Amino acid sequence: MKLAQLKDNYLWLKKLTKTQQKSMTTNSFLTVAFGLILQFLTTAFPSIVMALLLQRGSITARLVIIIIISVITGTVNWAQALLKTKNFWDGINTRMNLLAKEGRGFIHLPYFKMISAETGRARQESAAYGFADDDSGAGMFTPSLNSLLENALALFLVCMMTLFIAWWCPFLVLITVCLALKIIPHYTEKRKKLQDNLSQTYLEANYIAQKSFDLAAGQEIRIYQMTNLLKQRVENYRAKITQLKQKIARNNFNLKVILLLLNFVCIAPIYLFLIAETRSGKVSLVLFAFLFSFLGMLNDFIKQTSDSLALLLNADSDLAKSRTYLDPVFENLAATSAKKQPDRELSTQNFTLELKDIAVKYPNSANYVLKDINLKIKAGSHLALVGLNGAGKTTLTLVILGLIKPVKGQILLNGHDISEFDLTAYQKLITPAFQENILLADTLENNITIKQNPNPQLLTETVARADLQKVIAKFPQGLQTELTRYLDDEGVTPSGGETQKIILARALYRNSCLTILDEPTAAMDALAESKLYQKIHELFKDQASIFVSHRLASTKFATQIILMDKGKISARGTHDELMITSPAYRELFNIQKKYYQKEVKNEKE
Amino acid sequence: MRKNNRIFEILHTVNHLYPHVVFYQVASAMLSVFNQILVVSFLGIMINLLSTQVAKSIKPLFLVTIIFLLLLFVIKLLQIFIGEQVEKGRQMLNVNADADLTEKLTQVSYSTFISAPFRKLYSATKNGLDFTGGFEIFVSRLVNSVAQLGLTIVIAGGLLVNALIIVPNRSAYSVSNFVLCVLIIIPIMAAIFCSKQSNKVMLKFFDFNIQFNRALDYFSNILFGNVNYAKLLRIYDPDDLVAKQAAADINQQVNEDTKYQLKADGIGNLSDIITSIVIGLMYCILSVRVLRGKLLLGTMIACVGYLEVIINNLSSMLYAWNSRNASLATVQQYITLMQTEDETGLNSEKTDKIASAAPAEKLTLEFKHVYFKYPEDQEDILKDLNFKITMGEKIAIVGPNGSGKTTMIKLLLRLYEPSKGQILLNGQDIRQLDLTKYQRIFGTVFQDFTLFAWSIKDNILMGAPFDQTKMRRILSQVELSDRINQLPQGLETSISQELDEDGVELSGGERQKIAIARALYRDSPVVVLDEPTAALDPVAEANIFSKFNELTAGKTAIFISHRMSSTQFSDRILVLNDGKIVERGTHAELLNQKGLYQQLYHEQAKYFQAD
Repeated sequence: MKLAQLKDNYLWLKKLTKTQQKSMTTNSFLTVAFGLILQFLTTAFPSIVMALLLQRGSITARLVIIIIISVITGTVNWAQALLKTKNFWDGINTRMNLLAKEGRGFIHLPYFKMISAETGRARQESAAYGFADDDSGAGMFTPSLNSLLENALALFLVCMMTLFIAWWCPFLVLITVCLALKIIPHYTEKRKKLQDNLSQTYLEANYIAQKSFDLAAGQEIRIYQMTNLLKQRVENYRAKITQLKQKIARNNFNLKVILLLLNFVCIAPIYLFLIAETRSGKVSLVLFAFLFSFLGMLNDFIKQTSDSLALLLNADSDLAKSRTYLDPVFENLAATSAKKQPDRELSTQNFTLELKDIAVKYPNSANYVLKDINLKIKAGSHLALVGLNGAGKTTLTLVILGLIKPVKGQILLNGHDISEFDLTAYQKLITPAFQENILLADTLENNITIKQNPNPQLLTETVARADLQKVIAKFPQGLQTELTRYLDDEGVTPSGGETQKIILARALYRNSCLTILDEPTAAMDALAESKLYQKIHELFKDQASIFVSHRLASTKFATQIILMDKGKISARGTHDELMITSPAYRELFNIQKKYYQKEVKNEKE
Repeated sequence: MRKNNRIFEILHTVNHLYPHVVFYQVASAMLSVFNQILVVSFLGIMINLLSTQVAKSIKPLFLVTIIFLLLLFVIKLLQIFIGEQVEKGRQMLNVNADADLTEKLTQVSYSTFISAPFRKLYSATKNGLDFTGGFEIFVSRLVNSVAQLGLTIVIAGGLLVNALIIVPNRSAYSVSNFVLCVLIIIPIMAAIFCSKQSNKVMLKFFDFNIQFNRALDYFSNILFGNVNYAKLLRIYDPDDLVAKQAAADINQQVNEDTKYQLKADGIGNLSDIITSIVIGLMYCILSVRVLRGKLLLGTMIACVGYLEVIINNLSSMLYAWNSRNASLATVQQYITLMQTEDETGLNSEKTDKIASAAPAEKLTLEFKHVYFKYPEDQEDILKDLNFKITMGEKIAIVGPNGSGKTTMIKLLLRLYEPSKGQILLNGQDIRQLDLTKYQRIFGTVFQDFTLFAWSIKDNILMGAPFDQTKMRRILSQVELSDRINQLPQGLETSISQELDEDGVELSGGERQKIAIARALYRDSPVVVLDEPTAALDPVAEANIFSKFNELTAGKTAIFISHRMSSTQFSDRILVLNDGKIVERGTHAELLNQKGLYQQLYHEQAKYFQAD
């Protein structure tokens, strides 16, 4: 039930926060206690003064007591404000920890899950519900719990205190409280629905604002005269937001008026009775002053109790929703981080990788993405994987990298099935250079080494081989220059060519047995492309390498060309062999060759 | 004088953004003051009535109470109503400001749009609106507290003066009254001092915080958010060193932030202790009078109550005044931004020399000694460009990366203006033509084109009227018909799931085809294609190219490429290198020149010429 889930979430959060600060329970207790004490002192102060004045005794002593109490009140006020600040930032800490952990969890997801759009959505949802901002589950849970306890206790105290007035007063208060607590959720739900609508509208508003500011979109917007179009959409959402906010305002108004009426119906008789009792002497003047002030806060206490309860239940369900994604991800993270002893030692001598009858299917799909794949790679092999988009080239590289598990077949490393090896150790032997040239917001050095295996000599060698010396000399802080402007306005954004070299250096630094390059020259001009392939050929001469490309220029340095079609290897061999044996290869070649005929046929006639 | 003008300007802007909001806020402030004073007064009156035993019957007591309850009810009711209006109005201020800013972004000229100062100003203003409250805070704090304070001093002050000076009608307590006035000032002085010290700490915090938010943005959207980063780290960093470092960095930042905040709050709130002590002293001073029978007990309670209200409102005012910089800054930035020039559509004085349905044969474009450099650069990117394009021509612009091809196109599209030289349309400088009408003659596909998260149909139409036949024709020309028929919602399918859960993620090639369809649907006399087939595989590319003549029939076409595949269809080729046109001619002529073109061509062709 609700209570069980609340408890579960509470303990989950408690475990999460245990690592950095004192116990969550102590914090809660202190917050509630301070709040109540402060409430009491500020409300009771005039009454205390009155009590002192009506007594007998030395004037000076009584004045001193007044001062002392005021000092205490002030100090408690100050301390409580600090405690509030501390709580707030502790909440931020918790949320940030969740963010970082979730990020790590994402990195270690099984590959298909990682790239699926569904996971992307689940992540966003989980973040929004769980920890993205102050209103999220993790952000709101503890504060609303504390607030609920504080206000509920205060409410209880007020109720009890009215016993001093008459026996029926607590009942009247209780009935009012119960009625209020029943009515408020009804309006809160309505408001929630309206707020959800509002969020959806804000989504589009933010999207339009973002795109209008985006540099690339800005070009498009101007040359396609989208200004009016966008203006219409902006006016649309403006009108929608206005309407929704009006509805929310009316909803709030209705609720508050009902609560006001309820409150007055409750306190009016109590006040009148209180006055009568004071006049007849049954209630002292001091008590009158105190009760009057305290009763004035009744409405606030009721509202705050109900609000905190709603917030708590909200935070609780939000957190539970977020955890449906987070819990399995965290379990997976813990499992993959646990080091297991390799069954077999890995040796990098005489590297041979063999794929035997590999078949791959996407999860929940009947179709094979790869079928009957047989391949042998050893040091000195340079394979060019060619074929149309969707032929399965990239999928094959992911299988070799150990990111995708085949549903059939075996992968053998030096004659042994790779399941006998530690996966991470295996993956260290193979280096991918993906299509997307990613630069981290970090120093040039860290962009090359990715913080692995610090080895100054290897670094110097790598820099030389990747032809980066001139680039390093050009950068203001050499190897320690911060790349990208994500974190640093003074950061350097390397040019396309410089980035290429850095990516190459990164691959070289790993010093692995097999390097896989996926479409490395998609955006390059012919001269630069040619240079790059030449360079790659020199650098990886003694290792094994695989190129993936649909441009045939990449095949020049290959020892073997593998032509893929619809998930199968349809032909393999050297260029000349394939031109004879494979019609599909011939056609691919001829389509591109057409552009480079010695005489350009003028097709316009 | 200048400050007054500024305040008026701001109030005027606020009222323009949401009418009457200032009025509502002032009314709300008034009601709040009435509320506070009423409650304090009632308590005082009651205590007096009850303690002096004057009344023989209970009727006067009940009467006072009922009047009090009625007044309170009415005030609270009004407060609820006006409160909701104010709340709504304040929020709409920011919503409207945000919307205005967004509209503004699309109206300024391209060179303004990309300039660093403009973009920085926009970012700062948007941040201000989103995070530090902008207009909302201005109204809810500054306007509110000024109004409240003003009224408090008048009412509470008046009542105090009445109770302590006028009624007793003696000067015996003028000294202690004076002390009371001084006592009011002390918490304020303390608050000023403490908040000054606190601000010093907070300033460091703000700078720090901006950097922290930036880091957070990077971590959540890029490092942990982008699948490509995850792919990289998973292989290259199996032990999560990068990720763990990021987590540790975040932790450290939060802890530092906490330290700053605690320090700032600790210092800033010290004045609360002083305020409390001062209240105690006030009680003491007045208690002496009570004990000597010169002052009624209830009156004392009420007077201290009034003094408290005055102090509280003074403090709020002070707090609002101190923190005014953040919100005033945002408001000021907004006003500045909105005053930036608007380039589209409003300069109707510029005459339209282009016939609205310009027949393609009539248009000639010419670059005359065009130079261009970015404002913040020293060197020219484009140097002395001279060429002419006549209607119906197919021109290819080739050259190595960074040679200036895309920049030249942006000049042609009038996103930038040349630093020297002219671009002419039919002999007339294009700067003298109506911008919108000029840009209409081009249908462009940029290399970094953008598709919006709306329907495929809207992305192709871009606001043009929907013609079913034309759409079908174009979709089949770019070979998208089958794919679109596969989609459950066809043309109405949204691109990506950013705004629509039922949206679809399209492949790079499909997106490129949509961009091409968009350029074609416009039916503009000139088609500009910048690397239009980079994401397509050779077969898809060949298919598009084989249709190119059909696609661009009767139009002028400008291709940019660094691959030679597109030059096959061109009448003429311009070769750019390092910002200059180094070669020009037909494909055969350029091969014979044995220059850069021949070199580039040979690099690519050599793989295909072995046989």
